[in-house]
Amino acid sequence: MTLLEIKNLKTYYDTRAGVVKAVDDVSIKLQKGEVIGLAGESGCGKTTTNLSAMRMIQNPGKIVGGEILFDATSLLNGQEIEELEELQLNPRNILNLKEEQMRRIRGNQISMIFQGAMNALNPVHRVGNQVHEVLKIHEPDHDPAEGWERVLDIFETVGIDSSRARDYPHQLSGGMKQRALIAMALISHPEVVIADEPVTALDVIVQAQVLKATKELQKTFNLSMIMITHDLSVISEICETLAIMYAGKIVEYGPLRNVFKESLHPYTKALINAFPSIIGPKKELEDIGGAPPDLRNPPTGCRFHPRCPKVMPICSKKVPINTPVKDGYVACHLYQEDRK
Amino acid sequence: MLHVIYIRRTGSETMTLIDKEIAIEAKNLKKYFPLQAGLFASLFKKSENKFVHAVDDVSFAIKKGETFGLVGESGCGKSTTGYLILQIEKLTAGSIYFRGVDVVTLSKEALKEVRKDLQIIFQNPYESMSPRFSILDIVAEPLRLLNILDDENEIMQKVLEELTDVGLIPAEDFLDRFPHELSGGQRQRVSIARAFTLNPTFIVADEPVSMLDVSIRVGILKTMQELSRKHGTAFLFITHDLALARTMCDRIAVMYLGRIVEQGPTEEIIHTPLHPYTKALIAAVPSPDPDARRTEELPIIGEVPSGIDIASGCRFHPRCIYAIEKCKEIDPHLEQVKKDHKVACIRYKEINEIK
Repeated sequence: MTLLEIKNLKTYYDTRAGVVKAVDDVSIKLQKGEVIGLAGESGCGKTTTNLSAMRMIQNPGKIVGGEILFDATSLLNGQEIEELEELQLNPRNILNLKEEQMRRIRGNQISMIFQGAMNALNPVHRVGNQVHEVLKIHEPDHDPAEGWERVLDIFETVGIDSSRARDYPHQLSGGMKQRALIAMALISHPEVVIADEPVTALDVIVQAQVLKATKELQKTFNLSMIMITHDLSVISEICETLAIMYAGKIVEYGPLRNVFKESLHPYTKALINAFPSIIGPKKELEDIGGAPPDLRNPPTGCRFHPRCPKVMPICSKKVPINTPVKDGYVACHLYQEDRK
Repeated sequence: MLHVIYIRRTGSETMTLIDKEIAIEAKNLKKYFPLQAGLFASLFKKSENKFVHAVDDVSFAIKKGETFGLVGESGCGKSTTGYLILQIEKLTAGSIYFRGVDVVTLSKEALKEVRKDLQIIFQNPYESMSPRFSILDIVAEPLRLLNILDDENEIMQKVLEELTDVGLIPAEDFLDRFPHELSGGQRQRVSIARAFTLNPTFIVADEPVSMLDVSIRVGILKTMQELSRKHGTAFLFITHDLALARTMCDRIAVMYLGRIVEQGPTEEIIHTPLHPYTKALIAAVPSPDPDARRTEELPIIGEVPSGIDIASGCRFHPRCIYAIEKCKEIDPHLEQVKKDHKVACIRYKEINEIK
């Protein structure tokens, strides 16, 4: 069952220096219980994609095209649905909702684990209260004492001793702060969790501990997750599906093992070869060369062509379409019929 | 030229031969940062002096042309060690031997002379250069500051050479640009050019690529390797990333709370770690290969404690899964296991089944 579908999403930033096409025609389908990893370098549009899904894009950013399909009709009343249908708008496309309606969904049915255990928490409020706030907003009628119990419960679930709920953020270690952020995202029992670099700022050992906890929580609650990271090794620890983004587009998409072991797109191959590994024989790292393009003025045709080792004449002329391959797709002229 | 007597003080004052193979040697480095009590507390409470034991008795020698890695989690003292060697931080105790001279004892003038041969590449290319300096000025700074070259034409020629070496081509295009006009990767290349301008024998590289994207990283690392091969430069490569250390370093030392707990040839440490902390650290590194997913429990307890009140005995014992009563009493020192492989653990033989 598809829970969340991002369809041909286009999000542009209209800056004084020109329009930055941060996300350009991106589609993702998230199934119930699936964990999709979205990997790419900084500036490739992975965070923008997910902020768009949460409708949290701020000026000068704008969603200029596409749909975000998520069934949140249970949070709308009959009249609101009728209103939308009268305007011939799909109530399941959350881009059609009013901001007030979106607020009921955000943090409730779709929630987010933010990066930066260092500054995502408010320093002047107790962590427990910050987690409790989610309930106060989304379940205004709940009994405060019962709510606090639920806060303590969720703290234990994510692996923080519940006695720490009355601590301030500065009293917690980096790993615990990140766990508190996870607690905050999970307390409302969301359908979809978007995790933006959830372990990036942590040390290896703490990172491994938090990743393990996340993996267990995902299994326990059968969470559907989109996990954004620049670190391929983090993704391969937790995801089943992998999407590789480059310069605002998904260039390869498919089951983790296929994308990893039988990668097709030259960028995917290059990215994997650029990662040092601690397991197996020592390998020579390969330099991709060049740098990611300026998205105000992306290269014509395939956006990777100026850095691609297998570039062909057609690459600079035509944008490659998504060619279906085993359970996924790849956007590269090498795999298209009309490459001559 | 330096006019100093070639004496090495090793405990008692004995003359030893200078090892021609050694680029730089650190001996018993210590750095304690005093903790300042707040005004209120100092007025009303008689507080004892507390210290953060950032670096606590660290010794190692780096051979000429070698890349020596210092790995550990944040707060283990690896960067501080790098700063101590370059005298950016004042040592609490210890010596640093460079060309047979303890640089700690040198006067300011003499130290300036030595510094021509000791350079550093900082972690953050966004903060390590003045935004008001052009690229020419940044790379030429060491030449001007130490009066190596006077002639502006010669300086420019030298800068052009260095920029070409680090892959900023065509170099002429970069001379008059400012740091903000460059990408992170290009800036880090400028940092490398600056560090190599004086053709130093030793460079401290403090997490040189941790701020950069993966696709940029490899190029920078390769440039560093090429230059070090070309000039025979020795590196102290500081990183939290063991996988990265593996690709870059000939030998590595693992630090925990201000101490080196294990040291040896890179591949040996990666494949047969002896110290329980090294084992945990290696087990924690995620692998990009989906077939090598971690399944077992990490062999370590809890998180890094603060460096203020350090545990008695072995400082790792509260987190060690092999700890016994004795570990609370005995503070282990680095012990030679094999040629070049040292470990600081009283139980390393038992837990690794070494006879």
